[in-house]
Amino acid sequence: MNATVGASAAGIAFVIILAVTVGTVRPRRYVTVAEFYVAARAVRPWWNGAAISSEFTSAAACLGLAGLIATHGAPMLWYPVGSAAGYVVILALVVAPLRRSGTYTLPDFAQWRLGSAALRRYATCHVLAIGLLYLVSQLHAAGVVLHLLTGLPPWTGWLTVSLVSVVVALAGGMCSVTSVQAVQYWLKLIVFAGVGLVLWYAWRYGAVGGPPEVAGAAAPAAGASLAGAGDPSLPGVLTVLLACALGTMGLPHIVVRVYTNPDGRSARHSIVASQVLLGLFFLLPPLYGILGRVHVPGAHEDQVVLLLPGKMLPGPAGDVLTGLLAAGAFAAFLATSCGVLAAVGGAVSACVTRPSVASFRIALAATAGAALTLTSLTTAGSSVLLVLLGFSLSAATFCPLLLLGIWWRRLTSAGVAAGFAVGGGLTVALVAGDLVGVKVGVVSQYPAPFAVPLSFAVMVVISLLTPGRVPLEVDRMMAMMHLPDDLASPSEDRSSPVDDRS
Amino acid sequence: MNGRRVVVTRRPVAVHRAARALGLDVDDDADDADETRRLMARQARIALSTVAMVVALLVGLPLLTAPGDWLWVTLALQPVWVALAVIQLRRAERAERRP
Repeated sequence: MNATVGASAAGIAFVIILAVTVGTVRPRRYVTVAEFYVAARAVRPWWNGAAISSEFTSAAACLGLAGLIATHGAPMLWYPVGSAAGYVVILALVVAPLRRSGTYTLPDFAQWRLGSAALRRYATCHVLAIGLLYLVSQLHAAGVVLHLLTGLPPWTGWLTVSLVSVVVALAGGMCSVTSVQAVQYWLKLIVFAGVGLVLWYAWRYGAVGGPPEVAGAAAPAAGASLAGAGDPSLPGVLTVLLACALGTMGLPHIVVRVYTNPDGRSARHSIVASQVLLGLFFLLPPLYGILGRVHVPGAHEDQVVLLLPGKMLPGPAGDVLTGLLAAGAFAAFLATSCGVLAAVGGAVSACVTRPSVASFRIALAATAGAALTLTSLTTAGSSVLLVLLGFSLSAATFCPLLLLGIWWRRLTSAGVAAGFAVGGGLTVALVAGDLVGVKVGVVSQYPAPFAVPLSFAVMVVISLLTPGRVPLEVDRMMAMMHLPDDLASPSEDRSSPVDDRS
Repeated sequence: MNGRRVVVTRRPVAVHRAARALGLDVDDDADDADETRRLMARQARIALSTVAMVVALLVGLPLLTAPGDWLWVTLALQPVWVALAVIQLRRAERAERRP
């Protein structure tokens, strides 16, 4: 067991040192806040695609999905499919117009498109809620993993991940976060694919005992569920697929990455690149899920992956593989936490004060503090369920804002505010009710199929009732979002000057 | 490039409105609005056909296939998403190039 501790500690230390080095070795001098937030908009499509994929493959995707497949069975195989489908929807409906609008964050977009500062503050609250859900799930997973591997108390894991993420995000803004994430994507892919193949080979061709066939993988097992996530029945799976396909576009840390591309065209290419890289990565959770079902039945969802090497190959080989997986897991925690912190910090600071690098840093540290506090007040559940709750919330709030804001001229700020209140409020109320034991039948069990269409409907109806609040410049905004980059009139900062790239 | 004039300055909307009220120099603005509408309709058609494919696969396959086959079905869908994304990208870019 001591060798496992040593190997894990070495792997985790390696990832932390790598993150801090990549993130801070060449701190750029940022002249303006815009440059600090969005890496001066000079990130290339494949590099940005790797960063987007890295942010998306959080603890939930690396450890939680495999764990869910192992414990809940075949219906969970659909979750990675739904998450990847969200990117096709973003590419088709959102990415190029959003990038051409030239706004940094989702609240920025709300204010620019609908001309209401109050709406911006309201949207920022939702960004903060989704960001905190993500952060808390990462920190809890880090605590669980560190405790499992080294025996240290969970709070050391929370502190390590939040401190390193804050340091990386503070040191260089979005540019260093981009580099850290892109490097960590490849690290995660190589580690998880390599170890997975070794374990698969060992199971199939001799070295490990255990049943040769997967018994009963198709039979759904009962388990905890939250807002339809984790529910192995068909309606439960379809609820999660809907939330994933529509919710991905409203995740603050994914959308903010689009702004680091120089124009709408390269933003589209980044999304296609991340589609390829995600498709590659999402072949792995089913592999680990099947291995986990056979070899470590009954383990905690977030621990299944890390328990596998020790169970299957006791001895030095297992220790090395555990160390590698620990490194991959911490790369996942750090990549997502950095990205969420930078995105939420940017949104909150721009809302509270005049945007400046100093206020961005304060907001970022405050967000990390809030996440730590929330983590210490709650108990560790499954990381996937919390993340999927974030998807549901985003599908019921930011998805209608983006789709209607980009494609429908008559949207008004009153409509959006009402839609947010109804869609987001319904989701939160149902989940909170479910947690304390108040159930409203099928609506409580599967909130997304009710909350998302309701939010769309409320936005449309209230917008039609308040036609006087349609912004005067709506035609100019539509032209800016939909005309190709080289045709539309250039405005403040749609693209970075060529000589600005260092 | 395609014979269309590239506007290099940005004028406040108020000026356009005043100009339109006086009947001056409005073609440029009206052209822009028309072209935006045409392009939006074209892009919306392309995007909705892609999204319709995604929805059909996401809802249809879990309903129509047996849980025993889901491992292969779900693994096969990842390359399908990539193919859909590449087709969507090419169609969207072609729509923007067309004058």
